[in-house]
Amino acid sequence: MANTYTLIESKTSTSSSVIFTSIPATYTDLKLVTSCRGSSNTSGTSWYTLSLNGVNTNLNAFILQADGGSVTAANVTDLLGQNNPNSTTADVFSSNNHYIYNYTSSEYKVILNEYVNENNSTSAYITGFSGTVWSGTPAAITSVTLTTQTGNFAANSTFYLYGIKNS
Amino acid sequence: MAAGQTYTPIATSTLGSNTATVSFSSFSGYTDLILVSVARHTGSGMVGAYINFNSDTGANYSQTRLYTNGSGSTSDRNASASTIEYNYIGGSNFTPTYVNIMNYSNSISYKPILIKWNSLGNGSASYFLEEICQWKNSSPITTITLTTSSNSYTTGSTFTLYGIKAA
Repeated sequence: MANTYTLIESKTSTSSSVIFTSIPATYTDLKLVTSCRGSSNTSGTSWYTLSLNGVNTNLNAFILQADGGSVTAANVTDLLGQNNPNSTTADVFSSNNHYIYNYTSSEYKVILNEYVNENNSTSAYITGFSGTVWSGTPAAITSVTLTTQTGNFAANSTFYLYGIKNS
Repeated sequence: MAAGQTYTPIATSTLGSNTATVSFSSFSGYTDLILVSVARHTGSGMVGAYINFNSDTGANYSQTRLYTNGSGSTSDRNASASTIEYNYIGGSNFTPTYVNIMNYSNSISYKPILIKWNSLGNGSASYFLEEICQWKNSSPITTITLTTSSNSYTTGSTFTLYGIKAA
């Protein structure tokens, strides 16, 4: 039986962006799993942003996240995943899971995101989820770019792109 | 490492015509199920999309939801529902849903279901939501039925059921 949950590509990065290019159109959905950390000493939490097919416009996401004390909601544009800044506890990486539905269709694209950003402290950790809609040119997604808000990704950050096939 | 495939597409239904009810059966042999739907309805505006198990339409479902429209968070609960609202789908855009049905074949416990979805209005996201549901029945799930509160699922809507095997 054919494998239907396939690693397309894995990457590491110590620069400010990670780019998956030439994504084959042979799958139904995509799944992107990241474990990352930033090199900058940003206070609080930090994100990485999304570009699809080289553009970061027409992106809209609703976020729900909790810090152990309260739940907050937000409406953002291209913020996709958490990227623990260097000022947080050493060796703690953010974990992110992104599910990209129907990425070859000519419809709006939707990405389901889940993330956790830990810290060995009573504060500055966060867990959340969001849904991103790309309402731009309804083309198949052929490239995905993740870019830090500030600084670079830290060493040992990993990025895995999987393809899921429904037949 | 297990030799066999553990993430298997059991069945995919891509609607060739407008259809009021989509059903799955014959999915034995797995540990968990994942249902991925990308659906639209035949009317205008938004309508509820529903899931039932084993043709049970009694008040035997519970659902607790956390959702946002981008400006605030809301939680609600229905402890005695006759169905599970697994999405709120639009008539303009195809709306995705990710449904995880855990330990569906056991005959001991009630069945937990995790659901994540975006609803899409006319050109933008309307809601992002996660919910934990339960079918309050210890029987194995043998059929899954998907309906809407009004209208039908439109041509081109897709529904894929995956089986996850623990070993």
